Amino acid sequence: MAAEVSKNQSQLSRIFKQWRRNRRAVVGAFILIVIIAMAIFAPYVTRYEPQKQNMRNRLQPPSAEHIFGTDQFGRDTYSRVVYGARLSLQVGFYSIGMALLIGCTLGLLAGYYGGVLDNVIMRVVDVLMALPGFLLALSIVAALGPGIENVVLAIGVSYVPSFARMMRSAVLSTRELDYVDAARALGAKDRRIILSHVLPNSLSPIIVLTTLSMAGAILSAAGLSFLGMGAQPPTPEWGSMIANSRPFIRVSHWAVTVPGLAIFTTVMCLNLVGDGLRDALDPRLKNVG
Amino acid sequence: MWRYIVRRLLSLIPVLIGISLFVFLLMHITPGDPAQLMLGEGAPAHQLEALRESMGLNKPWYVQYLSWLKNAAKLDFGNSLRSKKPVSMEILDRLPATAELALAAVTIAVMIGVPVGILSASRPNSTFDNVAMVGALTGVGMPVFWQGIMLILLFSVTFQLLPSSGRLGGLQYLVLPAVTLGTAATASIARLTRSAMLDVLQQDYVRTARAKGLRRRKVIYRHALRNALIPVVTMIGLQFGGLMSGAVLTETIFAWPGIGRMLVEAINNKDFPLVQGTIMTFALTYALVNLFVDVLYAFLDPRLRATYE
Repeated sequence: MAAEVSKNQSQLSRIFKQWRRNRRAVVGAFILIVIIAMAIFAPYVTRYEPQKQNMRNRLQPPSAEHIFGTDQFGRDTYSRVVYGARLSLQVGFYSIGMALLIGCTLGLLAGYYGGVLDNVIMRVVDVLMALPGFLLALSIVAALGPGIENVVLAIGVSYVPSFARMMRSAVLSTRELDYVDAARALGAKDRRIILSHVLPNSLSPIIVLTTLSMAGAILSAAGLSFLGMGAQPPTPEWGSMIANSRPFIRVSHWAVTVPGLAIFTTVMCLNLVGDGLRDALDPRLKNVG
Repeated sequence: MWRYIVRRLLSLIPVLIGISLFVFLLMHITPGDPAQLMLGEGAPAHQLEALRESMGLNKPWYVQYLSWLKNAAKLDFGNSLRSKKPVSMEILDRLPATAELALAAVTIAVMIGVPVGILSASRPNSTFDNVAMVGALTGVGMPVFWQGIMLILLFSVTFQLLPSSGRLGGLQYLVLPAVTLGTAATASIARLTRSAMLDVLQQDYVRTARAKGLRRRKVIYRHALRNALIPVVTMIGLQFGGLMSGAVLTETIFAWPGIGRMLVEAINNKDFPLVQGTIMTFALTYALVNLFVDVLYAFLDPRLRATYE
């Protein structure tokens, strides 16, 4: 047992070492941490309230007072972008958390038990995959009505199929391994086999998928808000900021440019971290690139 | 091969029925009364009731669904609540614009993505490779709607080179929307072509080809590329889903009169039959494109071709 623990630790540290060698991933992780910290400490790193209007100070270019200028209501763009990070990160976190929980459970059940259950679950997954993720989320939000909670739910559902499929195939490939057979022969119950053998073995693809999906979820949420189906004004949300300030880009483009850069930076960093993790976790790709 | 295609076509039927049920139920739970929407706010109660009765809205949902499905199988999705025209006509009116946009985007993606991926893989970790891959990451991470607005800001507002909206009036109207929609696909295809090439270049037959004294260039284009392109074909198919999603946003930004923009308008107008019809069109197109790509894949890979014959 003790040997197993230390072996696990060495494996973790090997993966971390491998990951750390990927400079892009490290830079991505660093920027991501900065973004998360700014979101958490938003009141301390901003000077203005995100929703405070100042009609005498509309559509200003960047200045010492407002480093990213102001929008059509004279609100400070920088403050709104920082507060917007809270919302976007939370949407990414909750929607993918939901997809992870539901998708992995479904995938586990389908892969481990097979048979009728597998068939039923996978046919439902097939149906959900019949539409591209964003369109699926869009139709769900269309039915539930606009609002950030509905966006979380819709994006969560749209990511269930990928987690279910990945988990199922991971289970199918580990189920037949000798040590799982051995555990079963020793009389271990299904629950124990799943929790202590199958699940840990399927962890690495899931970590990678989670990171990359989080990036996709943030993009989708911004897109839905841009279409007016997500966060409603005056909530500071990146996608809706872009949509609402868009008519004014001829006068001042800052309230559109900066939120877009924020989405882009966050998504790119998540992708960099995810790519790095994939390369570190998948030894097959280790020497490539 | 034909047997495989037919089997795949048949397997689409349950999936499409499933998605139609899903979309129907979604629209069913949506608050809003279609009869009210058709007649307007001040309509008298007896007229509303008569319309509901004639539209079958008083029947249980599964009866409504079955009659909708029966008509949908004949491509009759009912009439738009707003324009009162048949949904299928509305879709056919708008479909060419979306097809044109998507085709242009795919063309851009393949013409740029594949060569960039090959060049990157043939000189891994070179300056070109690094610049290209950072560029590709940028392309994947950029929100399509923001990129569209930035292109408008640059090419329409600042330099006044290209029109910012509309479709009729020539090819210049297509440039910005197609570039916007094609960017993410270009980036993904470049990344995948690169990794597929690197994978193939490590294979034994490539080493053999080199060992027998063939030139590097010849090995890359004659031996490696053909095999590396097979997964790329699948990727182009997978990108199609992203393209359809991107089309909704791109068409909204550039006022491009396709079905993506129509879907957003229909959702905002609570035009349920039009929403259902449009989503079913998207699902059907998606399914057919994926089927086409799978068949093409089997056709390109002799090992797979043998299994299906």
